[in-house]
Amino acid sequence: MNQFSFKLLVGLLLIVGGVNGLSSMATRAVVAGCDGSVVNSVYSAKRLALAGIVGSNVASRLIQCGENIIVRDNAVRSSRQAQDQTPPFKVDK
Amino acid sequence: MLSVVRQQLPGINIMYKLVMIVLLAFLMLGITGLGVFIVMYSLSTMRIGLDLAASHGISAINSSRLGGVAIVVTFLGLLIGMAMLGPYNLGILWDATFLNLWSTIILCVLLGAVEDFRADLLSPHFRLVAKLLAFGIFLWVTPAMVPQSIGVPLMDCIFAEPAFAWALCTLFCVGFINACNMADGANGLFPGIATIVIGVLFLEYGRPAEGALLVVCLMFLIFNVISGRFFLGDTGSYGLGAVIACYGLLGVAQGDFSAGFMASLLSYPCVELLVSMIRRARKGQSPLRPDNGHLHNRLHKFYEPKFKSRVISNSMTGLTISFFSSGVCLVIYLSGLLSIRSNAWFCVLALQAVLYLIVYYRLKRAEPEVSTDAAFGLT
Repeated sequence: MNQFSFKLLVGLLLIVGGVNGLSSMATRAVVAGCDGSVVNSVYSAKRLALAGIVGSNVASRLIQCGENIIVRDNAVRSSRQAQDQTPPFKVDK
Repeated sequence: MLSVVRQQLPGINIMYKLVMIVLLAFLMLGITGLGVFIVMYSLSTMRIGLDLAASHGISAINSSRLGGVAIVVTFLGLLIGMAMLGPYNLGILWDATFLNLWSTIILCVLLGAVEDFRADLLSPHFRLVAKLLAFGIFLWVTPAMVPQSIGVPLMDCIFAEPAFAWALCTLFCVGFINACNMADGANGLFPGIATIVIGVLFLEYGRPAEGALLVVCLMFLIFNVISGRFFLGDTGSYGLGAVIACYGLLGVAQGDFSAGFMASLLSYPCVELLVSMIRRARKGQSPLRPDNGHLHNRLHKFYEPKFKSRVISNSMTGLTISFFSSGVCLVIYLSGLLSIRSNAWFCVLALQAVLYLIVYYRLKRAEPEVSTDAAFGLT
């Protein structure tokens, strides 16, 4: 493997690692019943290591917005405002 | 010993900048930011996208124009990761409007990518017609994207007629993308404006696409401003321009914010394009002919003697303009002084235009109108 491909691979793995950590956080938030325990812990050490100051705030906002439109793989989309939304032409898987 | 150290000085300088970027990337975006940085750095070292310093109005060092490609790669990495990893995704929702919208954006990105990888393969006229067709068809099949009024009495009469509104919106989108390409002339100028606009859109809507784009644009801004070795290129300016034009238009059409707010946020590219076209027309030149008479060229000439490093004067030029155009709007927006639905934003736009003209005429002309036709492949 040449140097360029190696650097690209390492970079993409780090990105996927960071996003994977944030996705796990979203799962924890949903399992906890969206009680705010995950969304509000913006500056916990683990989150800062995963996503930094800006990324952690972005993740919290995404989870907050996602609480209203929860899309679960292999499942029917549930929503607090299901009647108000345009039906998606595709739900994940 | 001293000569050895001197020989190593450029290397040390670059290492110093890279360490600064890594620290900022980790502080702002954690390991995700480090990943984005590594992808951007590896793409910036590719020989294929190398741009000579002479082909840019301001840059004094050879740089890569694959910044847009890096943004696309890292954006897709983030978005695919968000969609695929974990049993719940971060709010990704599919909608027919967004399918059309992103198809148009992807087409613009591809047009830019062809130019970045193989300069002059497509003529400027072909690209212009392709963009006109793409946006024309997109807005025709998605009438919900076309605003019915923009809060300006005379213009509202035109927008009341759907065919005129469609034609105006198509022209606006294509013109805006070209304005973004033109504004990509100093470190941090268009990346700074794009980061602010996408940040505002993310704060308003909280959609994952804007979240991922914000992260990527912020990282690119840090890399671009500190290293000065990475430009957006046509891929980035066409792509980000198309994203901003489409999302902005959608927001105005839905009544989420006023046209004045978007115009004020994007004042620099819009005013600069208009002033440049008028300047060229007054000289009897084609309004589309590239030159070095932009405000950022003049401001750079003003900054150049004040800083030892050319990269700092270049970056200061971009950051100053992006702060005093879009940055001011961001401050007003965050402070809540004006509602984003207010038409009073047109007054802010008028003030920004007046400030632009005052600064423009006070600064000495950067250099005698040296044509960059060769650089743009128009000769």
